[in-house]
Amino acid sequence: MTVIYIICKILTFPGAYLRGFLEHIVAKLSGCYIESDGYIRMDEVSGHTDHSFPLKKAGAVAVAFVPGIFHFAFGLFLSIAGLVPLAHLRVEPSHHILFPLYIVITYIGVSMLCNLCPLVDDALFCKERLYGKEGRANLFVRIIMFIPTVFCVAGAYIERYSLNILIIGALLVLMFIN
Amino acid sequence: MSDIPESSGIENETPETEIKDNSSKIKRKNAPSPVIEAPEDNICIVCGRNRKLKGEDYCSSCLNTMRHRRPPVFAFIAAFLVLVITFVSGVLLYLNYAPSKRIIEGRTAVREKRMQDAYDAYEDAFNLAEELNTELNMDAVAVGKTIRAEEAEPIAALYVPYYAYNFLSRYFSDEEIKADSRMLPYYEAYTNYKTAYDDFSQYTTALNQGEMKADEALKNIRELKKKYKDDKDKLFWVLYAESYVDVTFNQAGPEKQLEYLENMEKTCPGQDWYYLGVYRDLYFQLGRYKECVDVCNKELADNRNEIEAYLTKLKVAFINENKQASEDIANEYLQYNEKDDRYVVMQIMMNRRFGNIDTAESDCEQAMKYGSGLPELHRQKALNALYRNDYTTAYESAYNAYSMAYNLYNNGDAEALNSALLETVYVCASMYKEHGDGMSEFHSDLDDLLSSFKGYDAIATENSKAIISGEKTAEQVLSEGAGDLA
Repeated sequence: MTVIYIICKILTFPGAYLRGFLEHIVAKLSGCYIESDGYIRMDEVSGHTDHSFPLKKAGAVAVAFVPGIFHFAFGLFLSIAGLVPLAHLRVEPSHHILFPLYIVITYIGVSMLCNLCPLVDDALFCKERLYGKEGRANLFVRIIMFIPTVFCVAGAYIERYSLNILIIGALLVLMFIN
Repeated sequence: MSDIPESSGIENETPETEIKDNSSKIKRKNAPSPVIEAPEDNICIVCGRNRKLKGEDYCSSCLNTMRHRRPPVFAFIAAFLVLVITFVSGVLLYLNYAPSKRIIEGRTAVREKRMQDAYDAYEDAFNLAEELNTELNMDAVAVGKTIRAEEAEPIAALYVPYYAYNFLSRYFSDEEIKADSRMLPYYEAYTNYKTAYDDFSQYTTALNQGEMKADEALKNIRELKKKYKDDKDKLFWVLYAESYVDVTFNQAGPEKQLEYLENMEKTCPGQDWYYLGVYRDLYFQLGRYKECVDVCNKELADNRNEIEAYLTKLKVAFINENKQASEDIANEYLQYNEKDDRYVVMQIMMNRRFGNIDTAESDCEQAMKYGSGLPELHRQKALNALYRNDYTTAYESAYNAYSMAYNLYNNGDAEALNSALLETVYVCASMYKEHGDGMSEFHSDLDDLLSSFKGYDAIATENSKAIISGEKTAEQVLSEGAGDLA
């Protein structure tokens, strides 16, 4: 499974690299220790930053969510900007500048969408910090964060088994078929 | 970077609680959790050489390195590049918005069988892209030529299927058209027409040039029917030519035309794009109004923008003295079309027909205030003036309508110079010559215009003849029956 995971990270390297970078920044701001260099690696941390768990709840939430939120916003925007002309206006390879540009934009956008979720460990840690028996968050935060946390944990598992690539690939195929 | 003290509060937390542990998740995951700490577990989990600091999983050297580990410069460059690409994408998305919106509207219109709207939307998309590129002086917006293949569907529905091939051939090679299942039917329609046309055109050309008599041409064309008896698509064009020659050169009446049409439909079914429009006109001419309305409804099911079908239904409602039905038809038009000049035309016709000439005039003036380029609106103004016996305004409005329609005709709109318009121009010019005050700004063109209608009195409608001869007033003609000259 790790091999498939690593292959997917290599295929989506712009998003994976940026995800690792954002995670590095957020983890550092959350007071974590950054254990190793490199964001694209040949292990199950590829596309992420190997860091210690944050001490505070806010840090755990930030590490789990902030890079994903950035990736979702930028990835969605870039994907729309690239896919509208390619799938909708049917820009063809004969447009020598625009066509490769839209391909690049789409690739970066899609690769960011393929790297939305944190590592399973980070997602579970965040869940534990919010809903765990010891030191859980207050009721308001637990209610507000319930659905995002479910998505975060589920997404982390989906990404671990590279199912997100299949889902996004199917969506892309549907867009071009229609 | 936030500085964390070396005794970073971990000691104060319960060390056996995993969630509050400050160690690496990956390292922790792989590491066993011994009950009794073995001596080697005091070794730093990162370097594996030095002893752990108290309350930490790392040695002081590793802890110091980890605390000061910065992201690589390349990551900042990459993030900056992504920001630049995002900015460029935003600009391109903004530029692509208008053409994309029109293409979505075009596809929706095709699904809803609003073929004129669909064609307009697709054309707009290309025009918008071209305008933007001209403004920016660079090729920043592109619409792929595959969209032209989509545009062929409304073109085939609005005109003749082989027109779609003529349109497509401007953008695609024959090989590309033949290879695409969406475009292939238009290519086949064209080759069928071309093959048949090559055979019968010699006779129609000779007829037009006066080198052959109609009966002789008909005899030759009927010979072609044997040649294509097994090929219905080509036979259709031969039958069309036969009907055209008989109707145009032998002045065959509507009954004979209907006979031809029924025979054509029986022999070569599936050419509704031709049959429905001709059936509609013939049934109307022959007073078979119920069948006429049925055909109009079939036409509207294929194309919700078919204005002629709405107008014919409206005229049938006028003939039946059914004001409610005419209002329903106008509302049906609004259901599938915008509240445009054509809708105003229907309102003007309704108001004039049912005696509200003041409302008809004010509606017309209101619509024309915004500079309408629709010849039909000017024709309606001419009819309103004719109703009021204001022959100067009637002539001027008819003249304007004729000029506009003539320009449209020269730009490829074959239906712009329709019989209703010609009838109106003929009547208005004739009435202005007889009863006008001679003060029209187009007075100097009157003789030229009327000379172009030389011999028209033979084919003019009974209503037109009655108005010109003075048997009936324009008011009488326009407020009874179909409420129009034609």
